[in-house]
Amino acid sequence: MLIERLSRLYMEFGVPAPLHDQKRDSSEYLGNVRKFIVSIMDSGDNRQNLFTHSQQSRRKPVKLAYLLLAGESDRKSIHEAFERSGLVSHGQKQNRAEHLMWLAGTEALARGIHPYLAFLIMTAWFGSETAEKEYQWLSRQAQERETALDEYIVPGELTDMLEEAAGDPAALAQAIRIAGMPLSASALAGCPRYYLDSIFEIIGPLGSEMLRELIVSARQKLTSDEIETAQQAFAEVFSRQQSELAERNASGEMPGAETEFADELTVDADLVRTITDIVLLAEAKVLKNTLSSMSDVEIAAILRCMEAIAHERLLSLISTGRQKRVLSVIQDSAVPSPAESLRNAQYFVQKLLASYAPKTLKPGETLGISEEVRSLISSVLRRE
Amino acid sequence: MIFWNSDLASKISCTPGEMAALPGYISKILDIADSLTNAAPGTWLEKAKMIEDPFLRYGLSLVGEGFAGDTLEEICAILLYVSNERGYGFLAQCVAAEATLGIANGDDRDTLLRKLLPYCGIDKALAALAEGVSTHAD
Repeated sequence: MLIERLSRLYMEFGVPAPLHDQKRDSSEYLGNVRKFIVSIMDSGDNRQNLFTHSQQSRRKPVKLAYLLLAGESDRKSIHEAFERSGLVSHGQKQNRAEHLMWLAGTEALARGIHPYLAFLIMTAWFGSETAEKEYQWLSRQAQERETALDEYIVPGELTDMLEEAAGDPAALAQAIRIAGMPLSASALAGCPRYYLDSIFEIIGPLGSEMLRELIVSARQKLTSDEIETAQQAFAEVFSRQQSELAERNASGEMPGAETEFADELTVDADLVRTITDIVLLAEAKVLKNTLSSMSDVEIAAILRCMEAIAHERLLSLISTGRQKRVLSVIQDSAVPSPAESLRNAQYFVQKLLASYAPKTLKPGETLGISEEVRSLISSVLRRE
Repeated sequence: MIFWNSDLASKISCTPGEMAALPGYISKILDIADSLTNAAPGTWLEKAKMIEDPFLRYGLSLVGEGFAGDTLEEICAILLYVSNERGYGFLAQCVAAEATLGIANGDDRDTLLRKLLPYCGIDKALAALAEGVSTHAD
């Protein structure tokens, strides 16, 4: 929580002393930060370089930052080292803000945060105006670096999803933000170059370069099984974002849609409740199979027979393109009568039952279906 | 748990007259959020550059880079901590930072509004929520 975090900063460090209030020119501080981040990037995993930089640095907090990172210190030790050195103690008045900035940057890097983000954390200590200028500088640096990526493919569902996502870049950008850069990079590490290039176009140059570097690192460090696991996790995040955005667009495009559903609920509330329960309880795989055997019109019809809480689940099991088609069918079609609703519901549960039944079912064998779902399906089929 | 601090409290406090401008600012932020989330692919940063408010512009530029979550919150908290603004100016920056995090998180218009309204004061927020957040936003 933002305000809580802000209060903690006040509690821990007291009233802030801005960097630019001090005698030294802020460009000198910024120069040190730029140099620090570039050398961290260039050093990679080479700790010896960091020791060398520590010896060459003249300013105490910079020296300490390099030294602590070279020694692979954890967050707590870094904090203690800055405290013990007297650099960030409450009694320390001179250059305290600068020292806090170095503490924040060192801690961030020790947490495994990418140097670009550590740079953004450090420059935030200069205030929003300077931070924005420094972000632009870093952006230019990132564009100049542009890490090269080879073709490397780990087969999985994600590649198919990315093909589909070309028409839904907003959901893809949102999925990257929600999943975070490290997970996104691990998942995308096994995707074809063609799709990666289209992803780099939807996020800014800094984010793209960071993603490229993390992809290279993931390819070096992860096995194909680990990449596949990351792909599954990312695909889940992406599907959720797709259905959330589709639902949001649908509610924006269809004013009064909620009212229509609400009217329908009053027609046969019990049927709607039962179908809702079935959709929420049935296994995702079975539901997915059922939906794949139904037309857009049939899916639109069954969506009218359930409460909004079940819409998201059902929609998340079909592709974005299909979601749009289904929602457009709902928009163009009239509200069904109670009798039509019952027919649609019975048709859906019959399809669902068929999906539960394996093709090789022998006489006397029971379906792998929970008692609860079975009795709900029976209650729908018994209705007249 | 929030550890309230008197320095922070005095920095954020502003007059009822100043507070009256906040709903308008929130409404403007919601429009910016809509325009960014509906922007054509790859145009987020171009649109963000046109935002007049420097704090919001910077925050949303970082969102356009694909950044969100804990690190973005850390950056926003530091920017607020070192901010020289006081009173309404600071309160507006807090709202901008909260909005940045909400937009990065994919919040819809109503959710964003629910997060930002409490900055107008609890009475105003409750009254607006009782009226229905969507109508208030419009």
